[in-house]
Amino acid sequence: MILKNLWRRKIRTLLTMLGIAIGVAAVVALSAFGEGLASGMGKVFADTRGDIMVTQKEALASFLSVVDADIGGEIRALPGVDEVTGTVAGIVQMQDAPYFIVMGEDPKSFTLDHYKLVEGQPLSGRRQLWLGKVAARNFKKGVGDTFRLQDSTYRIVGLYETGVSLEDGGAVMSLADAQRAFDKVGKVNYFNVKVKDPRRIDEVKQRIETKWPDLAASRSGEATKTSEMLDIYRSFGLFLGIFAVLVGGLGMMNTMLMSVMERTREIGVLRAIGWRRRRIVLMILGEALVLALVGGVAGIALGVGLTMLVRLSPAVETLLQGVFRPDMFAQALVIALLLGGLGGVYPAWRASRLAPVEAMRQEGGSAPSMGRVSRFLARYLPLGAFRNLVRRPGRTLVTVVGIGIGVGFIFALSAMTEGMKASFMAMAGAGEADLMVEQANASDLSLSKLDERLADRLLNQPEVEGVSKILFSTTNAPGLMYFLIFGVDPADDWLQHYRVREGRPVARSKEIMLGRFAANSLKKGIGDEMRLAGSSYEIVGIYETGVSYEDAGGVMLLKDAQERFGMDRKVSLLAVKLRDPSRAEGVAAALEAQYPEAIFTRAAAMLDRTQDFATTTTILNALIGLTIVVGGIVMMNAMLMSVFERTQEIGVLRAVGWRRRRILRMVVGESLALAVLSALAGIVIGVVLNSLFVLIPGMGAFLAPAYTPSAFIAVVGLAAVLGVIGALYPAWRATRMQPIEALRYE
Amino acid sequence: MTMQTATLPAIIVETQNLTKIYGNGYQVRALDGVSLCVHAGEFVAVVGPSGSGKSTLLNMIGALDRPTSGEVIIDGAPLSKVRDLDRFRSETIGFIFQTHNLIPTLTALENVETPTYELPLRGRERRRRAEDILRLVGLGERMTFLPAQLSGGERQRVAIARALVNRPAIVLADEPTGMLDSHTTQDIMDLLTQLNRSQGTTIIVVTHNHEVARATRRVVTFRDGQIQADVPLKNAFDSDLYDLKASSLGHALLSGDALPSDLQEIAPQLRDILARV
Repeated sequence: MILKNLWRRKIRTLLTMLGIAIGVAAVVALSAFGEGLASGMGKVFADTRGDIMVTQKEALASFLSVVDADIGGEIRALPGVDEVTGTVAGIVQMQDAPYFIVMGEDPKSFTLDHYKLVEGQPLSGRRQLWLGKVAARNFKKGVGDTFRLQDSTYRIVGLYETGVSLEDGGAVMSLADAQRAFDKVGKVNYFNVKVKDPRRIDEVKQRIETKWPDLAASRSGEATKTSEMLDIYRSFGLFLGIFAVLVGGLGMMNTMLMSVMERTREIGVLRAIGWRRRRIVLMILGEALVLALVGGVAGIALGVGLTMLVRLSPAVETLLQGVFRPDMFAQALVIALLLGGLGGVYPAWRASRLAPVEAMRQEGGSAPSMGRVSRFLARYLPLGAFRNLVRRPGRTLVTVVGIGIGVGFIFALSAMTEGMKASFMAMAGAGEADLMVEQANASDLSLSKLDERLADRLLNQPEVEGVSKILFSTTNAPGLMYFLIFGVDPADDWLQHYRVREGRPVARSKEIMLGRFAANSLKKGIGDEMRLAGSSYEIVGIYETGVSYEDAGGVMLLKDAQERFGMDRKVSLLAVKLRDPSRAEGVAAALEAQYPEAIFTRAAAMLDRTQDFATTTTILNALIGLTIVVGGIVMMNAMLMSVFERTQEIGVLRAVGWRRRRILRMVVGESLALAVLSALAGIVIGVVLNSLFVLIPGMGAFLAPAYTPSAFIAVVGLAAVLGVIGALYPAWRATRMQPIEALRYE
Repeated sequence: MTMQTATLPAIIVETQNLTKIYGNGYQVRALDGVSLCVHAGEFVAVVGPSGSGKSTLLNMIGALDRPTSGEVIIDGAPLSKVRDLDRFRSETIGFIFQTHNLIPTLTALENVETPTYELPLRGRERRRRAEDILRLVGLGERMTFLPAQLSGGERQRVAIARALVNRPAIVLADEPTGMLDSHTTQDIMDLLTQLNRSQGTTIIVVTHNHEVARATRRVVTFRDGQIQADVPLKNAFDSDLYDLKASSLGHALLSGDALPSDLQEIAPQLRDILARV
């Protein structure tokens, strides 16, 4: 009976399944990305074949840590240590590969065992490298080819595979080459230590940390598990997961609600002929579960497909690995069954509670007796479209929620992106400087390195009025996800960028001022000590800029920062003030030609040329794309269901002589009204989602959503377009039918 | 009969060899070569068992469905040649369904207004027309009610009002009283009879209620998609006598109750005639 019921209502069954499938697809695709982000980043440094990993204390990630290479020998001398090897991990920006990871390893080291050589031979000399399989495919290179990296040419001697997409999209070279290429002569990012007796790992760990208080030793694998950077990605993954469940789950629950509410009348009939409530609820539950199951399986396929689709872009491929795990599918199915069942049973239960006569009187799932509010609105709303909506409050609500979820999702994500952009723009000093200078080919602003003498050379240029040197790096502090440190020259005007609210600006070495947010989180005030990697700094001021990144960081003297981050005579950024700001574009081009090691960008345009932001934007765009697909289909589905239900009504109108055009106009008008209403609901949903997300500890500081008018317009427009498309098809179909067919349509 | 033929008005509905086949594999001949003429101003009942093709015929005449073969000619125009069927449905035909088929979200008044949208009328004019017709069917007090708030008879009267609002030349009613009790049925039939009399509207009503058929002047019987019998109720005069006999006046005449003064004189003759019917 259950299957028959579903089979005989093919269109509704199909639409319901579609709704569920899309929900499940959203859950699968988004959790796959979330998982891919977390595990992809995590695995890069996870399997090193060593027992202990030694990094600089409070380094945000192992590739941001800097340790003197000499310490390796000293560690080896410790009792219980078998082998020690240092690694340089560099990240380079390449065409189509914003995060090209280059690992510098000692060719004789055990760490190389991690890379499974599938072709070629071991590294044996200078200027040789192994290329990951994915990179080889993307760059169309093979063994024997040459490869240009950081202005040097290398010969590819081998291809490897590790199964971690970030690694397979990168390269491995000798430690010495990497130290030269990444300006780390005499330094490494971290050490991997092999101990003689695996049972004594903790003992050795202890010894290292006691001997070098500014180093952190952790069990391999654990290091990445506890890495703060990873937490960020995990939070992002979690955020995606929650979003997915909300969008997918609510979407499918909504579909089921719509589908069962429509049948209130039928339930009344069954009650009237003597069915017990339980039998009815069980029947509907059975149907809902079958729908959810089939829809769920289809959704998994769809989700995998969507993920593949998004990954077609090579830039996204290495970053958004899209890791599928069996429990993810199970989770999606469970959500589908649970929410689908719930969405089906609730209206069934409600309908079965009604007196059979009342249930039979219901039309299309909306209560015939309007509430006082609806009646009031119905009387005074001039628009026919709104009047119809108000008189079917139940269905309108369900449709609005359905579409609203889709819109909300899109809106929330785009507001996040905008927020990040806005913060970043403010941080980049838009308005205060005319040109920003950073290292060419740096993957990440925190990895940009410029010789500070470039500043003096720039000052000699006739167009340049002033140059500020800024060092920018990230570290971590308890309770904060990132702790950004800005090194600034005390005599520089740039210091005024950090508006001091309490105390005074930094003036001497070993002084620091904290952003308002950081000070609050760390519970520190003026006069307190702040310990960073074995040095202590005195807090002399609290500043506030209104930019979340900055307010969650600290400012110290450029000299201190250079020392702290191993960047002697180097800076991350130069902010240039010009005599004639209107000529910024031309000056930037001229300077860039003169100093190829750097890129010169108008401050306002910096975002587009800063690689790490471009990457984030790419990821977000991919997600927004996914969301538009998912949310859009959810919207269209809601509208489709809503209009399909009215085929009969369209038949009546045709029978009394309405033209197709008029009917289409009416349906489109209603859909437009519904879509706009839904978009507004969606905006509210989006804002709520974001405010929930910002509540995640430590996250709020970095992701302040920004709501731009254009986003509002775009979202409302999108809802309108998709809503109308979703409404047009069933309406068009209904008007093509002979009126009598439409009238008979159930 | 001959005298009547001479004064018969033009043919308004004609079907020529009308055939409708449903289904692809297992085919059902719902209509099998039906040819029928209806003159303007006629009140025709189409009767027959379920599935004999009467509703199908009505749907074809009302251009709600297309015949498999054959032709429907309305007022001299073959429907297969009519380009604007919407306009035809809106202006020429008033359709009354067995289930009222009112739009649940619209009030009685708004439902009645729906057919007027294709006419070049102003909103106020539209409203006035719908109000007039609703008053005519006795629902002046119920205009702002939603269908769910009306009784079965009231809903059907709204549906009739909707069929009449554009003053169509032809009213097609498919079991208009199928769901109603005999008292309400009588009311509805009175309404249709009055319409037929006063406006000269051609009415074709599908029914299997013989009381309803009796209210008309011609009964076409269907069986297996074909016309089995086509019987005029003797003549118009007989039919009127039926009506008179069924009316309260007829009742008064036969029972000898008090009569209006102007009828006193002819009362005995009338009584005789009625007794013979």
